[in-house]
Amino acid sequence: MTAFTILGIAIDIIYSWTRMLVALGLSIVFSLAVGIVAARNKKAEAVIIPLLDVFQSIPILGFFPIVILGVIDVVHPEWLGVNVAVILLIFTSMSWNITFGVYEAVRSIPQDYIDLSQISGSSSWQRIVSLYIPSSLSRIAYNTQTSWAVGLFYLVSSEILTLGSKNYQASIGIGVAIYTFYDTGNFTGYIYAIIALIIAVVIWQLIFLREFSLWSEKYKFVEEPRGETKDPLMRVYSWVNHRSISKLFLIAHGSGVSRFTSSITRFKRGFKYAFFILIVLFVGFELGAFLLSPSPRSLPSLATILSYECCSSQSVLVALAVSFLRIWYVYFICVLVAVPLGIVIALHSKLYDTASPLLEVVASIPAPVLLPLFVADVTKNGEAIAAMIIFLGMIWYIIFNVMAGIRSLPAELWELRKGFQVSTYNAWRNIYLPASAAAFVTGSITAIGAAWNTLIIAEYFNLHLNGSSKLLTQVQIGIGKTISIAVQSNPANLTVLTLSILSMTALIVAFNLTVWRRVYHYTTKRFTYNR
Amino acid sequence: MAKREIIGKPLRGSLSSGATSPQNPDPSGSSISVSQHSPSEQRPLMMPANVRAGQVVGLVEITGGLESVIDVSRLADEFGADIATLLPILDAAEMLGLVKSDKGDVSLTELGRKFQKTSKRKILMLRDTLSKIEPFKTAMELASKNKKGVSVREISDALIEKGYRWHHNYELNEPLVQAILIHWAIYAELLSYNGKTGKFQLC
Amino acid sequence: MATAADKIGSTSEPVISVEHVSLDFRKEKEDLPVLVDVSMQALRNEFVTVTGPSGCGKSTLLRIIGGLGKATSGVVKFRGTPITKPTSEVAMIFQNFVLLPWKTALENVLFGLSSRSDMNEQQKKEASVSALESTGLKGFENVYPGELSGGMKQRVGIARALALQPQVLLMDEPFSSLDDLTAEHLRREIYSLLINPSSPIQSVIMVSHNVEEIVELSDKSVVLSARPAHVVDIVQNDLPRPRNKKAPEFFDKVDKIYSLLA
Repeated sequence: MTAFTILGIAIDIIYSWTRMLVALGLSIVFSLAVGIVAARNKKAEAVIIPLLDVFQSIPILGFFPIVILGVIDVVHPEWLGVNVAVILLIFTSMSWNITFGVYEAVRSIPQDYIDLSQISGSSSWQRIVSLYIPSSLSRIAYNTQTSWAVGLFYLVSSEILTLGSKNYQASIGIGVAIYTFYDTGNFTGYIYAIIALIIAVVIWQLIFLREFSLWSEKYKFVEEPRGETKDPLMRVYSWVNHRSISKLFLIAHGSGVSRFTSSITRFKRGFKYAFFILIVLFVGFELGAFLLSPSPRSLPSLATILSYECCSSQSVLVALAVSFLRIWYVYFICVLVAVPLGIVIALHSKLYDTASPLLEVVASIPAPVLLPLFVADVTKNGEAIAAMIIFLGMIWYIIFNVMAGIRSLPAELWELRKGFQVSTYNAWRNIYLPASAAAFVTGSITAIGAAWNTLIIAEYFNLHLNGSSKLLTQVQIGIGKTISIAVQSNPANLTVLTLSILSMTALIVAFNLTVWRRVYHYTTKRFTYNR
Repeated sequence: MAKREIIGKPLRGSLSSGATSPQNPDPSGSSISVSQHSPSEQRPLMMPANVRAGQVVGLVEITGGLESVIDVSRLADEFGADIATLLPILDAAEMLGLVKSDKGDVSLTELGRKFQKTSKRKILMLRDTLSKIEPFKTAMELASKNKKGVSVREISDALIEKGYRWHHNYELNEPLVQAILIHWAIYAELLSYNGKTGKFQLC
Repeated sequence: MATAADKIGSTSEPVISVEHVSLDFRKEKEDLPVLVDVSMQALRNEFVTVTGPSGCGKSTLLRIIGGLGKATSGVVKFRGTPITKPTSEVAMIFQNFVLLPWKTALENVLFGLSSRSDMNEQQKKEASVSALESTGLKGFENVYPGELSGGMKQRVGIARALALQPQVLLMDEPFSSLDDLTAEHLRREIYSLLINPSSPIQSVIMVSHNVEEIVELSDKSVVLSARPAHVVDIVQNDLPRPRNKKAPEFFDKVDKIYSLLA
């Protein structure tokens, strides 16, 4: 490793981080605007909140190829277009979560404060600046931690995805660097770049995100005692102790789910979920139409799409079904590994203290970065590689949630076990497994959501670097592959793209609203341990 | 906070006015209380939410152990409970005919004395009285129509239809109705309940 | 298992005997004494209470008696045999009930019997149903803990312990999570429920910090000092049952214990 390479990696990280920061800035501005409106205006709330709920369950990575095509058409020069597309993608992954934070923070401002601001006759602008924004800060800081981790996955993935086409490429960035090292056969560089990424994540967590959240605490309505130390070493130590990264996997999605379900109930039973799905499909379709082509006439009509689906030899819906099954079989393997592992680690304090920081470091690596490690013989191993990438994309959500579920149980349950001489088998069956069920379901919902996002890289990846192309992996059939190929054909196959993305989104949203919602309600009601 | 204001409101009027018969509910609780009908067909009373059978038993036992007539505030002292907690319990006991109160003076009725002396399954004595009170009346009517049992949601909906609510929020009304039914109707052997199906059936 | 013969035997032989029990917590090379030379006995048909200032280690002592914790020195004997691990002869009732929310009342009681290989499923079920009935929960077999009030949850906890047919019952502040009225109601029933001719229970040991409750229930009250805890005094209580809480003798006992605690 030369100093030059290290400098190169550092520059890559700075580029990537700049994209992240721009996206974060946009997300915060967006969140404040939308979150405050939703919290203060009943009519706006009725539209915004369910829409955000649906948005957060859409696999946005699947949209990326279309977005990038559209943006490059509109934004010139090309390098700027690519960056705008990447930032837009990161923005969509970060902003919903922060918006919910602002919405909840503003809604929970004590009524007294709002009365006071009304009595004192302040204008609505003054109220926003002096009341709503300050009271949202601590939630913004808190949710930023989560959004950052999620955004990082999209940053790296989207940088890598741009390499999947020869038409447009992000030239600098940590994701690009990792794949370039791989492509040139520089394995040491590849490993170093991944390590550099991990170090950057950890340091960033320590300095920026932590300071931001400590600073924002001032703006909390309720003062909570905190024993923070300024000694940097102690801070590293306390970071390891606080398990910041596993928290990211928990909060993010855990609260997302409960919001998701509670806001649905807020809309009473009469409201048809189908309505939301239709809105989303329509908006997605129109947005795609607008972005994709200067002349909307060239977009496929419904008839074209339907006739394609009926007559073509490569059915999009069959590919979707195959991917659905693929995700589920990998999910079951994941459950078989993650649940016992999570429970065993959580049950043994010593093991937990050693294993969980390690797990966190591994978990902070975005799965697509690891793809090259599994590539050996593409023609034979496509299915196994896809399974591996999907597996790595979901396991952390399940492990960390199950661990947190078990760790949150009171010591009394252990006394119960000992006092009534419950056998190990009975304890697993009657205590540990049920006690982790609610956390497990939360983890599963988010894990499956994450899995849909990994498909686009896991099922098919054709690396274009330095003028040559190299097929890293492909499965026999799958929606991720269908999308990738449709984007790369020249011109892009809009019929297939539109159909793929609309049907995938409809499937995911419908599945969330019907199956997961019920499972989630049932498990939280029955399997939550409280006194 | 909101919850506490609502609990037991419909009878607050009767306690202060000293009447034991069904009364015009507190006018201030307009959104929750039961509207007044002609005196000849009185509407069934409402069991206050969050009052447990065990608390009423405790109240009768303590009242019976003291002098024949006792002031409400002293009663609260004896319990170590505040008045806000005590009043709904007192309302329930009065509704069930176990105590009577006159301008804040509480004493056991004849039934109350018998109740105090019974040692086993006391609540069974209140079977008939309870079956005329809501939500038990409606729940039993519905359960008698459906042999497979009736869910809390169906009972809660039917009660809201009739104008009986324990909480203004639809979602929060249901658990309150469920708690009242479980804590009284099973003891009184009016209904049985299966947590697995979530259904109530006639005993 | 308790037999009629056991019950008739000599009344002087202790059921539970705590002999010179001491406990140190090891904390950063330093030994922190928690219990110092604690000795006490629970005799046949005796309801013993253990009290002391909060944090003095009375719950820790109870855990040692139940075989859940180990003493640094000294021994706890059950009918002459040292207790080293939990046995089904000694059952426990917890302050916070500790019911499994995913199991119905009946299933929770059955779960407490899961270690009893000497009973078949039918016997376990019958024992559980009758334990629930004896604690006043007939009809509540299929109700989940989340649907029960605090008092009823604790009754399930008691039923779970009774179903084991234990000879000794240990209770750690069983009424302190309940509201006053509910606790009052349960206290009135508990003595006759636990100690009666048809009950296998020979001794009850209850930890409590509520002095009135102690005087109302106990035959004998062990008063511990603040940490490190040693036995300050053991107060005998022969007031006739049911006890009248307004009686002057009752107040005398209450005063006595308060003065020992102060």
